[in-house]
Amino acid sequence: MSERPQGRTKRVVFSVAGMDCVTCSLAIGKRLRKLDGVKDVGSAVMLNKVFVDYDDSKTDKASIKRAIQDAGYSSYVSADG
Amino acid sequence: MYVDEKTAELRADVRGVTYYFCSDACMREFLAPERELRRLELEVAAAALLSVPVLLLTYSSPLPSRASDYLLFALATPVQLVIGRRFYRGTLDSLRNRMGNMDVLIALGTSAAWGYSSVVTFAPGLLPSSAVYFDTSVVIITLILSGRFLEHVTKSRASAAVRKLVDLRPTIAHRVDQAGAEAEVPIEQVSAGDTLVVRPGENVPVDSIVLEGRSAVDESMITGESIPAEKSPGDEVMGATINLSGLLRLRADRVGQDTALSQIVRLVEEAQVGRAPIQRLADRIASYFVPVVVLAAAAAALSWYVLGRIGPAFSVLVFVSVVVISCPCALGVATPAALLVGTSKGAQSGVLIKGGEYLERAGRVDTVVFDKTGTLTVGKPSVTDVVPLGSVGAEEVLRLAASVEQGSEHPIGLAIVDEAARRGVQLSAPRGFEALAGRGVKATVDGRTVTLGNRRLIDEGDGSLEGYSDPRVAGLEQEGKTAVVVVSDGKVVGALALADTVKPSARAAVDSLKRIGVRVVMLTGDNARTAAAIAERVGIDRYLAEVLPQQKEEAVESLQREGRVVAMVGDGINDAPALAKADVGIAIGSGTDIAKETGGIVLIRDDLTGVADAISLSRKTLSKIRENLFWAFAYNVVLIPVAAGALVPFFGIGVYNVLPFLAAGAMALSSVTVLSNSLLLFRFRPEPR
Repeated sequence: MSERPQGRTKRVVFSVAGMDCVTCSLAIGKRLRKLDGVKDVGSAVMLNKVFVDYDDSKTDKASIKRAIQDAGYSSYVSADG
Repeated sequence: MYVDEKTAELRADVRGVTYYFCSDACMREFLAPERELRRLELEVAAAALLSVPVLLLTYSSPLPSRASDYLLFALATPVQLVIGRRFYRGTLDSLRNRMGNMDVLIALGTSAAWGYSSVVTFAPGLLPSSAVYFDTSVVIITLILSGRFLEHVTKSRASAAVRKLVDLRPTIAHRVDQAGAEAEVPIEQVSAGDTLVVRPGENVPVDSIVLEGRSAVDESMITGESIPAEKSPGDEVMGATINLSGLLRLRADRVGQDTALSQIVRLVEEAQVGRAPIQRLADRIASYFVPVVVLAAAAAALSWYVLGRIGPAFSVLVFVSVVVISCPCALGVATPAALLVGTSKGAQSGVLIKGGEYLERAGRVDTVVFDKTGTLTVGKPSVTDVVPLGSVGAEEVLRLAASVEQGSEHPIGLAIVDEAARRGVQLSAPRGFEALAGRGVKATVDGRTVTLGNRRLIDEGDGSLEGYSDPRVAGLEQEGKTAVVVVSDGKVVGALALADTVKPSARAAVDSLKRIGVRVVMLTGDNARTAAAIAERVGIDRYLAEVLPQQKEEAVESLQREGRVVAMVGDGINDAPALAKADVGIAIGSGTDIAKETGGIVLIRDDLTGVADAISLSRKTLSKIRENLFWAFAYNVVLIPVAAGALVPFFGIGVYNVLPFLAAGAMALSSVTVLSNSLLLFRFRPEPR
């Protein structure tokens, strides 16, 4: 992603089952952006993947996964780092 | 991922093949789409099975109408509430997320038809009409589910190209330990610095440096280059490439996430994140779409009820048709689908497009600016001519010059020694080597004093050559070459011409750009004469000479001020500012660290013809996106008024008994149309040369 904020920003990629349509990805994006510590969310509808840049002092993968769950989708980490 | 079959606990059987998995996450990632597809298959089958009796009962019921209605309710309800439960679940999510989605529309539409019919069945007095529309809800659900099934199949075909890249990752390596013993190890256990052995026919496990051996290596899977590359000690070899001819001993250099292949996969995946302006617009529309459609459907239904006075049944059918025919998904998938196919296609031929925004700009490029040194040319001089000017032959001229330059670190000296080696000339050891600052070098070779240098050396030399001039030397300089005069014992014996050599692909690259209607401009720090010579050789008619490195950026900017959409081609490190300034920067890959390159597009292989490929592919993808958006809008914008009742004046109200079916059919096909249209991009072939 183009703008990478300073600090301890980490990137995690989740595979989200059922995120087939833009409206789903928009809903997930909306949820994730409300989460404190999430800096940027990108989604690839065609790959069912969500790319989340987060500040690891404020949030973690489990909370991100929970937020995705709250939006109604099950997910798992597909890439880390 | 390497998994030992005997100890693997996680396994799955898919279509008769058993797969073993390293982790639960791996298995789920692999199985999730598979499971969803099976579920849809079941749901479609069940819904279709139930629609048969429903349609029979609706259109030619042998039973009295009351009994038939009860039976229809009994058949339609499981379809509505059990098979179609995913639409309700989606609706709940949508309400919680405050983001309308497709499921809301389908749930509303089918519930309206089913609910209305249920009221007619159980409380017949409540409504003026006695007709039920259970067939409508059942057929809509069947069609929409079939549409989703097809959508999944097409979508997985579109993403297959990315999966293919991931699957290229080798799983095992042959590692040599300090004692020299060789063992087969899973790829995860290889770390940088390990010594590996790769036999002919095997994959190179990770990005490595050749320690010993020579071999041809097939790199086509990474670079798209079909001709194998010759590798010898010191060369880089990329993981996943195939060793063809000889045994290679390697030192592992980059492993895991850092290999070129991993970087490519990551870049291709990240390129799918929707940041193209064209996509943002579609996303915005999609997010307001559902509430707007529901309002429009309600308004249309109400208008017909109030103004049309044709009874509630017609209004229900209008409402159902409008919500069902609207498809935000086709709109939403129009850009990502074409982008995925376009960028995967690019990756297969060595053109990495880092995102939709770059693809969009590359598709509009009308001017390509090449940096000369290192981009159009190799970036270092080589000997182009050896001209004897005295009593000895060309080979002797070269031999004397190269003997003096042996051990030289200067680019010109290196080029002369290389040329001698290439021609197989035997050299003598020089004695008393001396550098004449800014003018040349001098040494004793086989007892003769040999001096090499430019014309200044001759002008300011010992005077014995005063007034020396030769039209042949002047001619070489006229061609933009550097002339080195060779003097032996005070007499001119010959001259060597050196020039930065043009890359073999440069001419073809410029020609293909011209063919696709792109203006080509060259930037160089050289003087006008040299610039003109190179420009002519590669077929460029516009060039800017004597451009200082820091001025490249300004040169790009001034072209942009003329209203041109500029792509700058250069190496990702030295030309980074100019690459960033351009509308799209195209970096020529300089090794395995692909992710670090500046520029929206990276050409993995050092072949300039990739520039034209990148632009044509971007243009094709962009026009595919526009086609897709056209279809998506056509489905929605044209068909919504039709669903709202626009056909009544022409066909009467009877048409609305079948319109909900047509609406569901259209909706089911809309996303599939857009996806299939995108798949056609896989047929893109770079222009033959």
